Amino acid sequence: MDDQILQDRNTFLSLRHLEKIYPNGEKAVHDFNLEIAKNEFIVIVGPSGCGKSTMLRMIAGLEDVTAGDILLEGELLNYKPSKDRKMAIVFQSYALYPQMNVYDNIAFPLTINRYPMPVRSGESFFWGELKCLLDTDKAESFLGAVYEEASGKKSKRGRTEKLALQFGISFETAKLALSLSEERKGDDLSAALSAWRERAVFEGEKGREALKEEGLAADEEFYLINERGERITENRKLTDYEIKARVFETADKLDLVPYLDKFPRELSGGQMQRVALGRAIIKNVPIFMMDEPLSNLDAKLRLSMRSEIVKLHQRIGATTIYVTHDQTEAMTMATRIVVMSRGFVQQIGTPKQVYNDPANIFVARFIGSPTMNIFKADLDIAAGRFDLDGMSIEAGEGFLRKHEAFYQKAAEKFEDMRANYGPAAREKLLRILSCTGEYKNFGGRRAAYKKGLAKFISLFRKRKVSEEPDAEIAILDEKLSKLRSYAGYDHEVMIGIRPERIRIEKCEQGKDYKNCYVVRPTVCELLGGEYNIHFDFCGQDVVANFDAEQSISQNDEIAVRFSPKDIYVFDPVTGGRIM
Amino acid sequence: MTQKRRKTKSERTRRKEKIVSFVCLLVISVIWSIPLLYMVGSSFKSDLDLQLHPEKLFPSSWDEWTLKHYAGFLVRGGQVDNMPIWMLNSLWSTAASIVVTVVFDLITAYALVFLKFKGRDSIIRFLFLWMAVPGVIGTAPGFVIFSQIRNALDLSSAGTYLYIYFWLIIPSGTGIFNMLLMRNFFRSIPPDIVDSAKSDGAGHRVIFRRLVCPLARSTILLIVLFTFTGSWNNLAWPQLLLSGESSYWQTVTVALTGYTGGASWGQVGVSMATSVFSLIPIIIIFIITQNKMIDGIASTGLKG
Repeated sequence: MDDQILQDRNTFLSLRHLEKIYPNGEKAVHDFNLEIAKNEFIVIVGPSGCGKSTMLRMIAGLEDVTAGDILLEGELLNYKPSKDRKMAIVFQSYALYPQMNVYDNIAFPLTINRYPMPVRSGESFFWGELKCLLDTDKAESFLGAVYEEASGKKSKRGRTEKLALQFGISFETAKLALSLSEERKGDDLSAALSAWRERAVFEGEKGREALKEEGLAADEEFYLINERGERITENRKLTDYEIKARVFETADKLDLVPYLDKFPRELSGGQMQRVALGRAIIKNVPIFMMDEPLSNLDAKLRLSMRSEIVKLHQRIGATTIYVTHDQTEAMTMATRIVVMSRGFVQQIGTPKQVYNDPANIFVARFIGSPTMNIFKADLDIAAGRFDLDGMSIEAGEGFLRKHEAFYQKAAEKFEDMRANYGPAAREKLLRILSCTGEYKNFGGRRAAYKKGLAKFISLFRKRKVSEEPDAEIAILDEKLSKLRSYAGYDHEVMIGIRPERIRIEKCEQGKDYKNCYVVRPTVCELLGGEYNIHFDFCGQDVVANFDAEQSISQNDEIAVRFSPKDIYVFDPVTGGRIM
Repeated sequence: MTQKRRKTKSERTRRKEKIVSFVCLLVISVIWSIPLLYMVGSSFKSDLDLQLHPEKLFPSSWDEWTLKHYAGFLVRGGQVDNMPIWMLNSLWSTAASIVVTVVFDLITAYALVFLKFKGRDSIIRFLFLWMAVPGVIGTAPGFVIFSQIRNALDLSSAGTYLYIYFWLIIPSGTGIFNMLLMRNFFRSIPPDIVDSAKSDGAGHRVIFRRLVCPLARSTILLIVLFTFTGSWNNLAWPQLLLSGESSYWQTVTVALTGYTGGASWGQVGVSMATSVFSLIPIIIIFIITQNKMIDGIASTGLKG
């Protein structure tokens, strides 16, 4: 295992053979494997109930891991409590604390944790900071602001904080500057500047002398250092001012400053969403996790927040794991997509791979909007053609070879499973069922729900162990016999084609449409730039895209053509992709 | 314009429903408030009026109004009577009961809702079952334990006082109903909030103090009100423990029985006045908590 880590230097977060079984015996996640590199935007996508949120909660430490390892830079996280995992999580419901205002909500993580901070050298630190500021070109504007604030009418604390936030200095330094300006009232700016500089250097040196007497040393910026010249750090709670500075910085990033003293119930959905993001950002952690964060927003806001989140991800250089059931979000945001169904990973790949090269029929159906059209077709091996309700399509080059290899491999796999039927083989079978969509029809998997007396009696009865495997073996046998009969013979296949790949022509009079399917569309939806045209084919509704430069209506006839290189061929038994 | 629109059917039925419920509520509240009004009115009647017009709620004429009865029990023989002492006894023991109840309930409910441990559901089911057992059943065994420990301890006078009040305060803090009320409220807190706090780095102590308790404020007030009335009005148990002890040690309710018992027939006015006097704290507490209490009832799903 250690070798593997050394090899994979790119791996940041590594999830290995993760499984989750709930106390009621339901298996929510089966054997999840994923290596995540730094700065990746991983989107886990799948229909509801596919285990994607469970996955996220396991990584975040909110749910126990039944089996498998979670490694962050080679460090095992399985048994670490959630708070030590360096992760921030954003929930679908935002999970804002209703009794706190926005400021307190964002500041919450800072107020309860201790952070390692370099130790300052006492008062000389602030003189040092003042000197640094006076040496920069901001010095004059700073002095001006100090003199202006000194004559201000607000409370002293308020004035000091404003100065400190404005120039990014600590509270005490601002206080020092204000008291200096009291001492030297009426000086003009340039005189004051040199006088202040002298004073700061003098006080700094004095502080350094005093430190030396105590046997301590400090670096240029007056942080304490040890013998090796490294800054000494201590774990401490942040001061109110430090928290305030960071909250304002975060709120500024998210345009939340005007809402800081409002309560969550007074905010709109988008604002609450931003507060939730702010609370995640302020923790300054390398991993972000989001659990369907956009699904409570209205459509327009969702679009803008989508790009906001991607921008945010790039700006703070975080690694993001994002869970959604919306394939559009997955396609647009992800650097890599994980498609899940019924607790099984169906495919992991970049959006392009997942779209253009789906691993199986489930992924093909799930990704893409409008969804891929899938038909049943008959394969004529001798002619090398598919017969689609009278329309004949040539099978692509090398199809027969691939077809032969696919069925040979599949039959071998099934024979192996049949021969040593056990938990491992059962897992494989469930995986196949999860992708063909037969999973839910798979009877007898969960014990029937019993109520009252029947439940009470069933507690004392021995469970019948034999029933379930029988049903499973029956399915296995059925599939195996089908697979055997398919190799080398004509049989049924599933053919898929993306809506934008269907060639449509508006029929003109007197033209011959050979080898085309001529039909009247049932619905023509104008999307602006293009039409979504629905028509009946093979007894089902088919969607195709059509450029909106030509106008089209239900009364026109269209000629439909499929190009052999655009079609995907799937095996109806295992759901796997043949070509 | 002037012609009045005939009301639609749904409006008419709604109106009818409103009238019926108003009448019902009015009748019930009149029935409930007559004894209270009679008590308040009688406490201001002069002795003569009490004898001649017992059927009237309030004094029969302006001349018959008097504050004599209030003076009668507050001041006796030119000196302040024991009433303030009894009030103090009642007040401090009630306050202690409230604190103990709220703390116990918060902690127990938190554990039952937010901690996962084996047998949690069985404990809750047992508590529900236990609620069906009337509290009076505990009186006899409780008293036996109380007196045996007291005999064994051989306490001084002040010690006995504290010991008796310990027995008055602690058992009232263990009411199951209030705890289940609190549990119901905690269950209504979205679990995402707690999860999010956990990933923010909060331990159970922080979640309890900073998140859950502030949210439970209205439920806490509801429990404060319930406990206050329960503890302030409690009679049987304090009477049992305090009988035969110094009269300085009594609580208000116990002391009031001295005015309402058979031996004090002549002092109807005084007994009414003392009753009114002892109600004042409850009314104050009710006024303070009533708004919040309605919130609390709404948020715990309790049918009021």
